[in-house]
Amino acid sequence: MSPSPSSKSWVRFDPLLALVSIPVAVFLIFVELETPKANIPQAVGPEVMPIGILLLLVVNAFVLFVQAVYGKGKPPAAAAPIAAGASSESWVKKYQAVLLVLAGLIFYGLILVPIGFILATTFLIIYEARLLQPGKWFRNAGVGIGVSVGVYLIFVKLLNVMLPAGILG
Amino acid sequence: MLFSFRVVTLTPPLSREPGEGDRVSNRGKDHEVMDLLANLSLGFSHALSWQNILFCFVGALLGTVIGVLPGIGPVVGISLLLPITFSMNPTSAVIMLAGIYYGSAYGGSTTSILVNAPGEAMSVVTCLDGYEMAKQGRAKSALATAAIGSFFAGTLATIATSLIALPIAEFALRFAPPEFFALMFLAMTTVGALTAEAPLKGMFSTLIGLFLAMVGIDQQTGQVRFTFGIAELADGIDFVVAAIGLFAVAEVLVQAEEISRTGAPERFQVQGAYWISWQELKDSFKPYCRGTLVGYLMGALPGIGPTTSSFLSYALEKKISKHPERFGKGAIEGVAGPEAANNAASTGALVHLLALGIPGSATTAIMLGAFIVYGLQPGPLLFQKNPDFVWAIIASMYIGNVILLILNLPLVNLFAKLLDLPAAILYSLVLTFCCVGVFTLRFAVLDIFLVLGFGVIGYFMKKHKYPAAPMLLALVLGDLMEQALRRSLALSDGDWTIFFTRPISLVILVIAAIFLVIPLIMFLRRKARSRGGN
Repeated sequence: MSPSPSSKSWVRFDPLLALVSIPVAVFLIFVELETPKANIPQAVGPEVMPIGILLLLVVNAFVLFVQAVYGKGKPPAAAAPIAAGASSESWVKKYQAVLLVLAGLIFYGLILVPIGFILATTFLIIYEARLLQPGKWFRNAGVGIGVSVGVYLIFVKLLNVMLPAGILG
Repeated sequence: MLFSFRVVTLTPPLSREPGEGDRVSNRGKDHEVMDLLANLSLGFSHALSWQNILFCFVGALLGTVIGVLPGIGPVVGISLLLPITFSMNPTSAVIMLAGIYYGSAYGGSTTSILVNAPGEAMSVVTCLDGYEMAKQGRAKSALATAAIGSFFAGTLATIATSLIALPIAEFALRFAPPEFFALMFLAMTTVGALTAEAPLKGMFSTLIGLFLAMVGIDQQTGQVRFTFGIAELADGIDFVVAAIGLFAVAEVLVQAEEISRTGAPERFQVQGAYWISWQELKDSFKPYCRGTLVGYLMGALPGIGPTTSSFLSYALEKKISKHPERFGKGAIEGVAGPEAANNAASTGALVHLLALGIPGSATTAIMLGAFIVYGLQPGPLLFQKNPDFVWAIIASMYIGNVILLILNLPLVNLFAKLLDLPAAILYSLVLTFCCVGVFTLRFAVLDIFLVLGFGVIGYFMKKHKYPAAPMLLALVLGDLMEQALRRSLALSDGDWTIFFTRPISLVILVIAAIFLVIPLIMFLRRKARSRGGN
């Protein structure tokens, strides 16, 4: 997937989104049509609005696609920086920071209940802060521990909202 | 309670049929003034309780902080704090949320003036002359102009809201389901069509939000829709999860990508309290008035909002100025007008939220969702069923503006120091509060993954200029809109012409059609012109 300089982000993202949206919307229309209906007499059933929305989405996506392809010779100014980035960087490198932030959050979701709020949140803060600004271990650790303990105490002691205690519980 | 007054509220029929043509009471002007004073007294009696003053102060303070911090807007701030407010008294909670909302309009200018990086989109235009003033050694004047203008506009806009919100609500009592459907349709078309560079993208975003609102159990028949066997989705997609993901997580992802490419901008230091000269105040007065008028009128229209109104105000000031060449080089009018406009617009946007139950922006959409969670019924009946709530919110806005002026004039340098907070710490804390906020909604880890999903969606929307606000607005309003549609059609035995045979509904739909068609025509003309230019 190495686009030519003329087929930049504007051309790639919008038509791709439109092309994916149309079959997904059509699939969802069939899902709704196939869903067994409750035997309640109604002027308008629960399927009308979702199907109407999905039909409009199909039309909208189609017009978006046509517009994106139609205007491919001249991507709008707003899309140009994205396009410039896309052509000079590999996909993984471009999204590296984003992927690492997401990885940290996914890991946080997985460990939150087993190891508890304080340890998981301390990890999250140290990890994300380290990711955004290398070094500063002591500062990040201090903020991580302070914030996680502080938030835990506020929620549990002040607001009576239970947070997972985990292995420290 | 500090005061006790007789409260005058409307007494509508308990149920109404379409076409009934309600007639609102024919009281004289004197009675209306007395009603207004009594209602405001009721509001102040609640707003002046020490708890509500405290929450108003906290909201104003947080709003200023949120406004100062780049990338953290009122949508993010309110989304993050919303889960905490669910255990609070609804009046106190909304007073605090409203404080954050209009407080952020105060704080946004500080960063624009001192760093040339707007804390808020609505303060972008303040950079043009505010930063130039700072470079000329007039940072104190610029900051004071912005703070006084914000106070002036915020207070006048609150007075206007006090005067017109009830009459609008009275008028809206004539509304039946077809009118509400038309009104929600109008809100979505304007927000969808006006907030995007390309209207089609705004509409796409709106339709996705509407579809997401359909997920879960149908209230009328109990039919499960689009859950694909995931039990946690039976209650639908929580708007808080969507809001935090689309705005807060997405913002951090964008910042994470950008952070390594940009260095910290230079910040002008301001020592001590500050004030402006009498001449500067005189020069600012007319722009304050014009900005307030433009901002309030624009803010009261769904989809326009503070950002557009601040740009309109700037354009107006430049157009009528005898020395337009000074604009962009430190003209005080270029700070005064837009700052008044964005504050007036923020307050104006609360009018249709309170009087009609129709939000016009992502922030007010979240507040509407909060109303529903608090067990309040948004819409014109809110003034009757919960007058203490509505008038306490309005009264708190008077108090909040005074608090904000006191906070912003002498303490601006303290707030400016927030800009020294390392971005790594700021954004990792935001991510932490995102996770804590969504997890505590129902203690489901799934919500953390859902917020991540919305974060990724929001990130790509941001990168490719798809506005997230219409999606959130549609998600909040979608269910209400469907109920209004089905009730309307139940009343007409399935006859869809009900929306076009009722005058109010027809007028609203015609306005919606205009809002829908005009941006499309303009967009197509722009495209045609740009092609012709090549």
